[in-house]
Amino acid sequence: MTRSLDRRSLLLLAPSIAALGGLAACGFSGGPSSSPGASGSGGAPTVPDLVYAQSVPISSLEPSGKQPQAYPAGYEAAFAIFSGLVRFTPELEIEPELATEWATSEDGLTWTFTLRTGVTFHDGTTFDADAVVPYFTSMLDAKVNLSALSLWSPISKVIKVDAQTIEIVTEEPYGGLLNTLAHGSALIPSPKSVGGKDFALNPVGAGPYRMATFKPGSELRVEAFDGYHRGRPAYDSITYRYVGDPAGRLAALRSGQAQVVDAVPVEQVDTLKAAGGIEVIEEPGLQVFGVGLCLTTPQLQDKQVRQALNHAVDVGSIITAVFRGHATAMTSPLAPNTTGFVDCGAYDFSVDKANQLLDEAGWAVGAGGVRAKGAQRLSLKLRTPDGMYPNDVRVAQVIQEQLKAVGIEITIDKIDKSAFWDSIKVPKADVDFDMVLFGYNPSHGNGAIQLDALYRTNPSETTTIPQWNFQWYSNDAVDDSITAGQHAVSDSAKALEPAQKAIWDDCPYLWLYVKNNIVAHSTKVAAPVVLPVVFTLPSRSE
Amino acid sequence: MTTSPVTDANEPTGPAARTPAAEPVGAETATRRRAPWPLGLVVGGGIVAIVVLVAILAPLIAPADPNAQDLTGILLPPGPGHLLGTDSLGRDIASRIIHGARFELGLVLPPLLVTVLVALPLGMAAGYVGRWVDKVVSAISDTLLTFPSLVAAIVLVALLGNGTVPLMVTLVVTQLPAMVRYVRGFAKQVSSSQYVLAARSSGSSTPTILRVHVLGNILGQVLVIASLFASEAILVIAALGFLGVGVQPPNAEWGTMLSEGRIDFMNAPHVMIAPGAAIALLILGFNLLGDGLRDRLDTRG
Amino acid sequence: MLRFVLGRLVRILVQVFCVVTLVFLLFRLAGGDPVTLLLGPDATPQAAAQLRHEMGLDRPQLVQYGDFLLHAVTGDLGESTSYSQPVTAVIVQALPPTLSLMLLSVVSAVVVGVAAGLLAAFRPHGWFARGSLLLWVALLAVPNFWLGMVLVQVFAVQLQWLPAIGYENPASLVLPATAIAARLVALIARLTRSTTIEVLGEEFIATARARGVSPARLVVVHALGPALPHVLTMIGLQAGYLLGGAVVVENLFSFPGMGSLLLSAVSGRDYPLMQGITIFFVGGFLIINLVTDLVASRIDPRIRLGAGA
Repeated sequence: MTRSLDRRSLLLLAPSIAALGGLAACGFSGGPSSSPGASGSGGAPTVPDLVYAQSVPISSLEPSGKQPQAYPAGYEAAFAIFSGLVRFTPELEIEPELATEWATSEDGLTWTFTLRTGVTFHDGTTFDADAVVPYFTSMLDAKVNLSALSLWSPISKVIKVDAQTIEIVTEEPYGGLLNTLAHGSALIPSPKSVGGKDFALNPVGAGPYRMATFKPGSELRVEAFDGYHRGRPAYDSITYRYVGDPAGRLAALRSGQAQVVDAVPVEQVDTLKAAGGIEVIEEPGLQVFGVGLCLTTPQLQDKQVRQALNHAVDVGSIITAVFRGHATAMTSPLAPNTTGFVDCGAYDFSVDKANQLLDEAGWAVGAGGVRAKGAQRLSLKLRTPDGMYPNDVRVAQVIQEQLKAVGIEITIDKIDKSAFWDSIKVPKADVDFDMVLFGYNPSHGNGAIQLDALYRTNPSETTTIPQWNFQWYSNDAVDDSITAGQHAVSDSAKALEPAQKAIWDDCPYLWLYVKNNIVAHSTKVAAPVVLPVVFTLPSRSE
Repeated sequence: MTTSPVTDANEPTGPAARTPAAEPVGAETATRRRAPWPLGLVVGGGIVAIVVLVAILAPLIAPADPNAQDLTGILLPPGPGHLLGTDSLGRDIASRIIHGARFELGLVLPPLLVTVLVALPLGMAAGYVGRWVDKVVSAISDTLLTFPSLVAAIVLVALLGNGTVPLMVTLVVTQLPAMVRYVRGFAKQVSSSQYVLAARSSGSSTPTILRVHVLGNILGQVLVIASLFASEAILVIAALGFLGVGVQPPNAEWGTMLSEGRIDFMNAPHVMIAPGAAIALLILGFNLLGDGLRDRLDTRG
Repeated sequence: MLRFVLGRLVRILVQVFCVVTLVFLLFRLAGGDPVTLLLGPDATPQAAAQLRHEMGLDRPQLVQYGDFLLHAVTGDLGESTSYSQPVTAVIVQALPPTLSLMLLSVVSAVVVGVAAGLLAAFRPHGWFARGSLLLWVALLAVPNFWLGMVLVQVFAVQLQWLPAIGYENPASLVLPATAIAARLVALIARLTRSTTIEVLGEEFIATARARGVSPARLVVVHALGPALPHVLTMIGLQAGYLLGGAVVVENLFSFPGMGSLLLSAVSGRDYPLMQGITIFFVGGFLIINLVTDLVASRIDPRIRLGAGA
């Protein structure tokens, strides 16, 4: 009945397992060693090969057209490989990069840029007007520039004056031109490489680092480019690794597998600060969060109701409890360091005021503690993505509870983040939500463009919304002010003040918070440059 | 050696070519000396019964409203006032666990019932009648079985969206092929038993035979399998909740509680320990119950 | 034997084809497309429509399906929309990590499980056996992602013995493999124990003992004999668990394998990649079963291949 082991079978098994194992082992990424290099104190970086664990994967590096994917990880790597004419400082000012100086004409329509000399791309091509003009001109083409056209559309043409000088002509004065040129879509690839078959996988730029290896979705490694115009950069190599799980990122940082991590969850900031050998960088961000209030919903068409909502939610407690203090309350539709920001005051937290406004608006508390007016109940659907914004679902739950206290019943509609944008970018008739938790990050830092994207009247009710005015807000005075702001070459704040104040008063949003960008790094390396537009740039370390 | 078909947890008989591997239950009985009520059955049944009771009585026994937030008292460790502490929004964890029992059972048992109700006729037809009915049913279920259930669940929920109904539909869809295979196997076995052969020769009609003899004889085994399926379903729900897919907030489903508590794990581990333990306990209960039922069925011969 | 293998391969092809068709239909029915995700928040609807056209997403579903099939037959699974690379290339990159993880999990589970089962069988009433039984029952109930999280906390963050994430060196495999293998160890150990106990109770053991032959050696040889095929078949049955467990555990450990790839394909609505991964998962499952069947039948010819149930 029993049978002893068939030796031949066993003999077969062993080598096959070994072979499989060998094959599999070949796939080891063999990346930088997991322990950092020699120790040292502050100042100059002492780790030659830096590992940066990112919260978002890099899947493609094409700077134009579809844009480096994904945001912000793709951009962060793109900024290492490419350079633009200008770049942002950490305070979101503009400083020269491949352009040394610029001037505007009297009428504000022509900008003249002087290009830097002695710059070469990674493949040896010289940088001059012939690298810039054709590429920028292609970015004006709607068929090529699929994802950032709104930043480039005010430009009518780009002209080469001579090898070191170019002119950019706009149809109307465009105050945000420099923001556009500092944006990821204006990073300049080597003209020899553009249009090549594997352009997205083998980008060639004039940035401090050149591409070494790329495994889309998991890892990108770049190596120092000796010919960089500011001199050899700080690290021999930088490896961008995707670690989507925040706990995993922090574990990698603490175990030495990574030296820089982004998107530190607010819950871990204190633990990290207390841990030795780690420094936490916290900067106020530009990303504003709020709950969009749909003006297609009858209950929300009354401004008093919307203002009551703003008084009913205790944003301070959300900041303290959910964000552990690492956010600030909004005082304008724009974040404080967005260009054009004007302080519009605050909606103080007051349940009494909220109740009073709702009573005055005719909503009396009815059955089940929910307010009603005639047959209509103040019962609303709040849509939130899951995992798209930090603590999105938690915040939705807090809002649900706090609004319950003033007699408003909220049902939460949690949507997968990959379906979220499609679900709110719909024509007016297809709106199936009342409130939407939404965050907007102006990657260009430009307040006029932000207000235009969120608050300009939608051109047509029968087509999909062109940008992000999913709550169908419309105010002509606001539109005019936004247009003025877009044209203002300087002091856009003055031009945008009427728009901001009107929007703030109209409350198309339940205003929430501006979150901080929190990044952590090992003390063995210098702090990376952190831009408020959520970019962490170890490539800028010098 | 017994001839019961695959009795091991969670993945059923594979494609028809293989003879089911029987975990020799006889050995277990030998060491247990034929106890009339196997310990596993008692313990497992007890656990499940307690959870059911908790679920039914939840509003009465929970110390607080599971959704009541207290933003000034977040992440409190277990102590007076909050037996299991509070979570990241200051909600009482003990109350959430108690109410969560409703979700676990409510998400798992109805789909299981549906699965059994649909699989019984299909499987019995395939196993008893055989021939082309069997071929069709087996071909379809074998093909569907090739999709690992968690992977199928992820894909299905991505398509159907969040919420209780899509989750339940997903469970039914992933469990049905396996259940059909099992029922078919049981029915086939019983078909060649004395009773059935006798009934046939005495001229009973097929529906009667199916109803009286086949169904009656396979119900016990189906119960065993159902119990094991329940434990797997809880694991799938928890895994989906962990991956961020699941019921709408603020509902206190245990898997979602695990996922929510993850980020605070380092400084407030208690947020994850309770839901994790609850999940494990319920899975354990169903496992023991299934094993115990199987033992009891076998000891009765 | 050869006929059997060929027959099975044909069946596998047919089943994969059916599943892929099903998946294709389901994905397209559910709506939601990758274009908005690819273009980012600053894109215009016109740009979206244009990209959709470029990607061929606005053609009738039947045409898209036929196109996909035609290419699939020649080995071209299309291009991944989120990676801008051929699907086959992306999958091939992600295979080695998952393969090595599966391999390590299975091999270690078999070694540890069989050893533990044997030990428990020899002294069925000792503390080891009783304790083990409890442990195995517990291991079967603990979710593998929960176990993984605890392992990371203890071994990676606190003790810093092992890496917490990624796939850099063999050490990266230890924690994820442990999380996956735990359940298998329990199952294999139980199975080995019960088979061995049975063998121990048999006549010839008593006879051998009487003759002075060491029962241990006999049992090991004669227990492993019948146990191994059962263990192998069990592994085949657990293939579904293995593949599913890979998804969750890879997510937890940021492990760049097929599981993480599936999750990112789903969240990016990357249809071609999702279809390709489906083919691999399903095909893999079937091949695992085929292999375990073959090996099991070689070891124990009682398990006849092709015998209908």
